[in-house]
Amino acid sequence: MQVFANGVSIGAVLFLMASGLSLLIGAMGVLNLAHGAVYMVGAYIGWALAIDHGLPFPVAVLGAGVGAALIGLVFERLFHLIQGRPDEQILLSFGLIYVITNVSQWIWGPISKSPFRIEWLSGAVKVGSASIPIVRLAIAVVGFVVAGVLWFVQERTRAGAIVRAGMDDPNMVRALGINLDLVVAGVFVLGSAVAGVAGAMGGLVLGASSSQAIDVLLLALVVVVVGGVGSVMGTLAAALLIGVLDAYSRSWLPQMSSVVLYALMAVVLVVRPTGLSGRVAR
Amino acid sequence: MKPRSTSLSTWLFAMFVILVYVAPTFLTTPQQSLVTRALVFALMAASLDIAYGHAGLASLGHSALAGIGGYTVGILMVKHDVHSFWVGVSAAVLITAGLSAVFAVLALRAKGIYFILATFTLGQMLSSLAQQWTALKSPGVDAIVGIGLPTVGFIDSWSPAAVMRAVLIVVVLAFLAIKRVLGSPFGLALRGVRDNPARMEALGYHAWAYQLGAMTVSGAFAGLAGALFAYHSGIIAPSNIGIAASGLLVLMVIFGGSGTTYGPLIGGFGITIIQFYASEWSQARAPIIVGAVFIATALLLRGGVAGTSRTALRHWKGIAREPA
Repeated sequence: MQVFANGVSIGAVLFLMASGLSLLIGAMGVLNLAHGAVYMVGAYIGWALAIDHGLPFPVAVLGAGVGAALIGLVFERLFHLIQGRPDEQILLSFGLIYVITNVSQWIWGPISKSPFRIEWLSGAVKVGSASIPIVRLAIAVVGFVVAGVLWFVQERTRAGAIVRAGMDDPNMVRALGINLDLVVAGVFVLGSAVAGVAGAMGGLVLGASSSQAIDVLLLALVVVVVGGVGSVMGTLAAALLIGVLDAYSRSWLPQMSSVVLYALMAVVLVVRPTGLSGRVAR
Repeated sequence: MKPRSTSLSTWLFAMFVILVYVAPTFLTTPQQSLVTRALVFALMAASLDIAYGHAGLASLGHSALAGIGGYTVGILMVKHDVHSFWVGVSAAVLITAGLSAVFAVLALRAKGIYFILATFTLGQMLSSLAQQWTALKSPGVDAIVGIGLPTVGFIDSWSPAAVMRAVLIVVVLAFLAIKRVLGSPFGLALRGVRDNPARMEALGYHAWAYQLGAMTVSGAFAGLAGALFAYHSGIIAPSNIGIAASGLLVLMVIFGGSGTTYGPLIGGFGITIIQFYASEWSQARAPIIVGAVFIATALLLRGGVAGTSRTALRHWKGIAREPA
């Protein structure tokens, strides 16, 4: 139960990270591997506001979201220059990862930050024989709420319908007089903001460090490959699966924990190359 | 169609090889080591370009394949006392080619951007295997350490200059072999599959088999380069085969000019030198320089160094044509 709860909370963080990535790849054909760096900046901003400046934690989360959204705006302008060229996008991503991780080490120091301690989120609730830390619950709640909002926006609103249509037939959407570039920019900024929130929330259990730019990205990519692109619920299912599997393999097979995840991904690729959602990537 | 490479570039290549061969007389020992490393990465980049530039398969797990070669010679020497270069390198090339084929069968299930993600995560799987599996470590460290220079049968003691020349000879021979493979009907078919798989299928070519072949051959040469890397560095670690290393290989290929004859060599050689002097300048801030090279290459350098200079040369000769 303890392990399961840990898995669900990590799954929620992964969902927040992967939902933006999945939309960017699926809906926009933008291979933004620097999405993990956005998460990392979110974690650092969360640390700076909540721990260093002692602001209330919700303010820190909001600040992380806003900061990440601004970075997303800059990213969007850069990726816009090399639309539809995944190879150059890989290079741009790597360049941004190098620069952003180095600059954040410059600003916040080379030593990684330990998990944030927030007074009113410490403690645990008893469920049967297990005690579940409140921070884990809080992370899971935020993850599920964001998942619900994103699902609603994507499936039930006009903006969401445009995004979905853009995934299936971008030229048709443009022909109908919709400014798809603006939609792409919106998704980019929103996805980055969610990644920033993920960073601040994830900081409660993972802290903040520059290696997260790659580590968190990798887990999120496994989620995207397993879940398939462009579907909120597919991503949520995959994120929870990966989070729980990761938690169990860490407690049972500490020697091989991350190999288990990648092996799962390899199996999904062979059996169902489009992932759980089944939508074909552009 | 790619035009025949001008004799000018062949001359330049020959001059470069001769220059490197005589260079130990005027280079310091650390510089000799740097050039050796740069040569190894030139070969590694050239091996990636077989799959990437010629078969259109952008792999983000290539350093893991090279790592298989490095780990093979490392484990053979450190744990099984096999010091022969010939045995070590043969094993490295065969094992890497075999595992590359498995890697390719898995990754080729995915298409487009998904293929990139698949190679990315598969490469990372190998890297974390090396991180976590004790069979792939020397006692007490997360790497294989203490890999010495191999015995080749006719050289008794290695000086840094001799290592540099030996690596140069192996890299040039391997490069000529790659050039030969890519100039063969097989290489032509690869480019056909890259540009128009449907038409190639209609002509009776099995596109998937050619892609598998490209990744296997690419892996074989990567294994050779990885083996050279391990012999020269004396150590091979998970960070040598992780995603950052794979990203650098993609940078080298695109910086030099993917799909061109000499581009990957230029990229592999040049980026290694830039990286070295960036960290000489400032250990702490070097990533910003490297990152800037990545970003500038992505946004500005279409066709890479080789492609750009080829276009410039044609303009100069007055036979400018639209690049293909």
